[in-house]
Amino acid sequence: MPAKPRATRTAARQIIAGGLALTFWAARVPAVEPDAPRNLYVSVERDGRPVEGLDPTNFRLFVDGSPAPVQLAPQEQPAQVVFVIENSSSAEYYRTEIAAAMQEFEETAPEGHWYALVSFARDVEVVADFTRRKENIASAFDSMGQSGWQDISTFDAVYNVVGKLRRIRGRHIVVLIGSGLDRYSERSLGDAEKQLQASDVTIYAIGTGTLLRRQYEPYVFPGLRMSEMQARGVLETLAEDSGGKVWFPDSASGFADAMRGVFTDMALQYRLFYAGGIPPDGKLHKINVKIVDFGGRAPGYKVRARKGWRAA
Amino acid sequence: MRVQALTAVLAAELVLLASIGGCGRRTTPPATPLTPTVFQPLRQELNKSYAELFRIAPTLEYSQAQIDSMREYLKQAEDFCIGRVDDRADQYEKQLAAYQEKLREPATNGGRHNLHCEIQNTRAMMNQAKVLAQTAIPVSYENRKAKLDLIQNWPTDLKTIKQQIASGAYRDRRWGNVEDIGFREVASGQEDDIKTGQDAIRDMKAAGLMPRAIEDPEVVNYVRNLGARIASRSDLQVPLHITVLNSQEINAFALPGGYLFIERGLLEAVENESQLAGVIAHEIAHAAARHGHKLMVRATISSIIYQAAEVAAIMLTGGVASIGIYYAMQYGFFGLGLVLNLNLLGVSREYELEADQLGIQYAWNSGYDPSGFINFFDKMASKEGYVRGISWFHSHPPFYQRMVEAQREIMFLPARPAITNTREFQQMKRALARVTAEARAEESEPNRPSLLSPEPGCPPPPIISFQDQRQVEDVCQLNPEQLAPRHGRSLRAD
Ligand SMILES: [Zn+2]
Repeated sequence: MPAKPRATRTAARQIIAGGLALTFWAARVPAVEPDAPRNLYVSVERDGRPVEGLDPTNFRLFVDGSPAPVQLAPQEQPAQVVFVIENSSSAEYYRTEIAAAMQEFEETAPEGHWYALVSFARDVEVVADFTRRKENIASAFDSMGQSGWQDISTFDAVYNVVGKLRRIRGRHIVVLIGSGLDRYSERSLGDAEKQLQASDVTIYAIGTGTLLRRQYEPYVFPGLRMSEMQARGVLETLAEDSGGKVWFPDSASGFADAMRGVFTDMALQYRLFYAGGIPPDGKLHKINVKIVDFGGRAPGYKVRARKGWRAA
Repeated sequence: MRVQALTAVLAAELVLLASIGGCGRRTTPPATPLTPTVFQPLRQELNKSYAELFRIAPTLEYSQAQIDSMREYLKQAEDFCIGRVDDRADQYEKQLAAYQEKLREPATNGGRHNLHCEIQNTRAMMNQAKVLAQTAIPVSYENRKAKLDLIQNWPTDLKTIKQQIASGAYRDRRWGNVEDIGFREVASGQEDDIKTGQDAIRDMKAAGLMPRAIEDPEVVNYVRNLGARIASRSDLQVPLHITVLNSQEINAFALPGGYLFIERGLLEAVENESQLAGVIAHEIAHAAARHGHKLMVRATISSIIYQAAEVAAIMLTGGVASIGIYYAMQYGFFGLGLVLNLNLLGVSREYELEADQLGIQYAWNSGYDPSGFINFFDKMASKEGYVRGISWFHSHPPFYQRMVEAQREIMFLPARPAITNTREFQQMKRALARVTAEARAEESEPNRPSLLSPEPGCPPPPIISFQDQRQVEDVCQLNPEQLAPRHGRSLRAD
């Protein structure tokens, strides 16, 4: 087949995506009722190690600075885990490393959860819908073609996936693997953050920027160093907003370790249950979780929780 | 005839079969045109297989007038049947309008979500009813009409064939030199198609149209070995690549350059190795004769896939993005064949007949009973799975011509001992049962979340399908109480 002019290809692709509805539909209804009880997944560490075995009396919740009643509940099972993977033309440089992470997932992630795979470059596409079979995700990743797009829509990808997950009941995890760069999104980082704050989604991000800069700097476009620092910040922001975690590995084994880290952290999270309402005023209501021991003190505990809630 | 249960389902409140509205079609079943002593036996003949009819047609004694009235009756019955299913589609449409009216009323977020689920699932059923009316029912009646043609015309055709055999004239037919299979040139430049095929696969993946591959080694190796065996005794000059796809559709298709795709539903539907060999040989013939290439003189494969995707979107959604194609495929309403509208990938009347002829030769040359192809065709058109397998017949030549030409080719081929079934086939079936059970368990999991659903968090839409062996006419005669929900639950979201 002769090479097609780029413009034709672009047009065709957009129409395919629209006509086939392979891209996401715009979110139409907020699923979480403003007054609905909220799940709050938190990780607790001390001296860099996860702390297990805490009970409800160890937790103090503050909403907008005021103490709020909180309960401890078992994790919701199964969780819904969505891999959101950048598939831009520059992502092709570190395909091997991402593959190592996905292989680690296939070999070590727990059975029983729902897993899905979404890719994004210019457009956001569902590569594999939710399945309980990890090998389906692995083979969907293997068969993922190269998009060829330089355009990257990280914000749209997060906005759309979180928007979808908000309307499905259960525990939601997004594993975002990409650079954090954004050159094309309709939505802003602020939009993605708001969507995240209105949901109970936790984002774990595995950043590809370090690798891209270290290994391929001579080949990639100028100005990358600057935007790579910003992109790093994007991933950190999304993880912090949602009480997740971020990794910037620089080797295939580092990617695999990060992936294992995702599932370790997930498994050890506490699920707090807050039955109070969040006023639907569109404002961010700040959340603060503290650990206290029997003496009422909290020596050296670090709590990772989402920054706040926002009711649409 | 035994009354069989319809597996389909429709939420009880939507089953309004009794009330029949009009849209220019018959609203009552046609009266039987002949005396019962003629009508009943003739109707029974039409339920017989092609193989049996080829055998007994010369002994049947129906008059021209009797056959003509039966033909007229079938036409009216088809009209009535389509009318009923169209009505059902209309009722879904009205239901849809009612739900949409309710959208204007104030509702809680939860109530609104339920309403969206109702709308989404009603649309899904409406689209299924439309495919049934526009494609599945016409195919089923076409098959019956072809059998009527056979009863009428085969005795004369048979005489001609026997004369051609006796005089040796049959050797002069196109591709009559079967002793030269593999050495003759059916189409030159097959290797030029390899790149096109690879591009097509890439584009289909990019458009989300390629279902997952099955990896079970027992299933895959069996199918690849069978394919390789037939390819080595065919006119194919390029390497054959076979992928087994994990989708419910009863279908197989060839992309240019020797890329063959067999869907799980096909492996489930075939009864023996000769039937599967017949289908694979037919697809290999398309590749060997470069039909895809010949149909693509002006268009590129990308534009074809793009066009197919667009056509499918309009056809299956009524021009509205009501339910994603991908989503429909995941839940098995429609398969890839219907989505790709396979005539765009190498089906024309002339090429189809050529692929039938060459395919029969290749199956025969590989040691298989060449009637396997006809038997499977028959089974698909008349009995089970005609919704899931419907794309197989999409815009193909008239059934009578196809079946008669296939049977004639079989008669022209030198008789030899032929394989119908093997132990390996049975082993593959056992391995396949595991694959199918795993896939179905997930496909039918009631609380399966979906990112593809326009409204996430809804129950899966009911699938309108029919139990194996059920005849299409019966579907149109059904009383509401004969309908039973397949998922065992109502449409309502809880
Ligand atoms: Zn064909």
